[in-house]
Amino acid sequence: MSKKILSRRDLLKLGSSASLLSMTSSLPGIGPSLFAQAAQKPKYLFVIACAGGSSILDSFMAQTSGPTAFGEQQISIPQGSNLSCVLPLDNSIQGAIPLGNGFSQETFLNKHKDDMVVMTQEVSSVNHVIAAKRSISGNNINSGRTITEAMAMQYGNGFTIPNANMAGGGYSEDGDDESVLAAARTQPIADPLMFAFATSGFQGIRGSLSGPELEIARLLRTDLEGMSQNHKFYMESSKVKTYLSNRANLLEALEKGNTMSKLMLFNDQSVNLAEFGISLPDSFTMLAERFNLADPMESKVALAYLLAKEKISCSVTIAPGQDPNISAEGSPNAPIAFDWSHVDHRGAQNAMWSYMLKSTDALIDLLKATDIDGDPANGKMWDQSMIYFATEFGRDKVSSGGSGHHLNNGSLLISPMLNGNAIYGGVGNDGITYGFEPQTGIPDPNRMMHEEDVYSAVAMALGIDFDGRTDLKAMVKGA
Amino acid sequence: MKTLLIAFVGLVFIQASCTKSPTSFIKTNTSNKPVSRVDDTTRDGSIGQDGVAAESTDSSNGSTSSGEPGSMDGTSQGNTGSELPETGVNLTEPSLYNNVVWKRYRALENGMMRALSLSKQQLCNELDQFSCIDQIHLFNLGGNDPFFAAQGKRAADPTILTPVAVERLAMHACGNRIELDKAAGANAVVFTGFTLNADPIPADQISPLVTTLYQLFLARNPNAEEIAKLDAFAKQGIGSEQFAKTACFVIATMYENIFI
Repeated sequence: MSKKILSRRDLLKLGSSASLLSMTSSLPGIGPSLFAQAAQKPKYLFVIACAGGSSILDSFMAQTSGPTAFGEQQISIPQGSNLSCVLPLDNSIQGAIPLGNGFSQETFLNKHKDDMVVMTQEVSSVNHVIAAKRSISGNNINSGRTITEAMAMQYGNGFTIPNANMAGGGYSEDGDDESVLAAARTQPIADPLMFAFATSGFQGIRGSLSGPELEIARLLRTDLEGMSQNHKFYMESSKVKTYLSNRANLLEALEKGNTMSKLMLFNDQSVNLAEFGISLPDSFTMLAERFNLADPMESKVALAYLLAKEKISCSVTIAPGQDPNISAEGSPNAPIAFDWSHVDHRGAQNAMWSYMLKSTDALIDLLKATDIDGDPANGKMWDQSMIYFATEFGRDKVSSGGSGHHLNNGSLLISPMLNGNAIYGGVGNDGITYGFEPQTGIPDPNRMMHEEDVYSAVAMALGIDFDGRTDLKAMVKGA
Repeated sequence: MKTLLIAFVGLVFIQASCTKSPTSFIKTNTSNKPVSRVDDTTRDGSIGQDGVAAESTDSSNGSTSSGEPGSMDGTSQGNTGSELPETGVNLTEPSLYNNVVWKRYRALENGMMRALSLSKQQLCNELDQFSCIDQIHLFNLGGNDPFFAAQGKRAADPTILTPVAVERLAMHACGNRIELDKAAGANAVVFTGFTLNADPIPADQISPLVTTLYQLFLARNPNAEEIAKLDAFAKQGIGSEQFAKTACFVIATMYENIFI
């Protein structure tokens, strides 16, 4: 078989492939110049979606009195901490399967308290999908733009897939702001271990055209498309234009960056990746030590780190799966995630908080150790990061049995850009949380914070401005 | 009696439809008229609003197992597509509506399987074992997985990674068909009458191959300009196999094959 490689110039001599390419590069969709900021320090947003309804009173706002009271031996307030936490309990699924990974909230609090903030709130829906979407859209406070879309629009310049999403339901929905660029919309990722295969048109395929051969083939295709009657008829279609724009811009960026090998997390012993010309990331061994890559949640967080580190995504959303990962030792997570609280409130909340926090702890450690773009002069990634534990709603204020959905709750935010080690708001004897004065942070029993305020806090810390944003000066460093 | 007669006629019609060869449009198109891939009815979106609907529509054309390969002798069609299809639609002007329909995963899969006479298992598997369509690239090809990925909704439009998924699918499928045909020798089913190890590709084999691939993937003949373009490319000294792979990949991934 002849392997003659035509040069780009050879092909251009044959026709006018440049014409369609030039058209697509100016189309809506991916295009670095279309993002808001051309050159500024990147920031990173990780949305940890506590699907099913995580109760803040079962974690960092745990109480020893009231309807949600824990026993004195069950909670901890580490020295120097203004937040409380719940120790691992003896949980099980229906008394048959041990439940929980044993990771202690106390460990997390001790390590990260200075960057941790609890912000009370009362949400506006107890419907899972609706409430989840409102948790990321701030109940449409920013013209319907989700916080991940706002992040991608603000900081997406230079990121090939700015808004990656490994969640489902309302956490993965696009916002309602039609002005958001296609490239800043949610890009779902179903399988973190195999996602790398979505980043190249040819790598890892036996007998594929080579990179240079494929480049020529793509130019040839562009020419041929321009010659068809079909193109003359549908050339003005916005769907077609966006598709062509993504194809022209994104593929090249992903392949030239060798993204596949940077993101590959699949390493099953039954497959020899080298046979397919695939290698693992340099950091794979380290990641495999920090994360149990066989666990869906942990592998998602590992990929989230790689996506940010490799400048693929500036916003990543992660949610746990709905299935328990049952092994001989039991299951680290509850069936249907936090919503297992309907059956066993304490067990579900305690096990799921540990499940979410274990991998988040590893993520923070890695971000603290990683230079932005690999350059020590840029500082550490953690200094520019925000972790937002989003959830749909709270749970009934109970200390045993099952719990229903409840509007009243609170959110956990973790970032060095926040005035941390603080609870903003308070909780009454009835277990109902209340808000605070946004400028001073003083608790106000007559005030409730809402989805709009949480969205504003995240946005304000990340430097995302918009009309109507709540000024939460008390929460944000340097505000 | 009248009811029975209607039922009988209906059964005969259904059987005739189901036993029709997947590529029978090629065999039966002897009128020297170009093949119109979609008529006005399908252009309005009746096909492929979602994968299931598109699948059932595609499936009505028959399964690949019963299909015969398209003829390599494209000249038998006697037409290079310069005439307009008789649809009553003026295809020389941009559409006023532009309501193209995304050919989602199942429709695309069926089309590729039929075009290349590949089974579902032969079509595309990452690392030789994970289905491109049903597992790895499902969402980017327009599907969703509500049970294991909690994806209750499909993407409304192609995602930014859809072009990558389409290219991988085509690259796998074209490569697999070529390997099978190389091994089959005289019994090749798509790249028939074609010397895959010739280097460079014989000039008289270019146009028939191009025509066949256009027919198989796009259900139309290439126009003269398109043939000339690929002919010029092939005459740069490309070997047969590389040309076959390139042409197959290029035509399979043209957006004409992604939107209808």
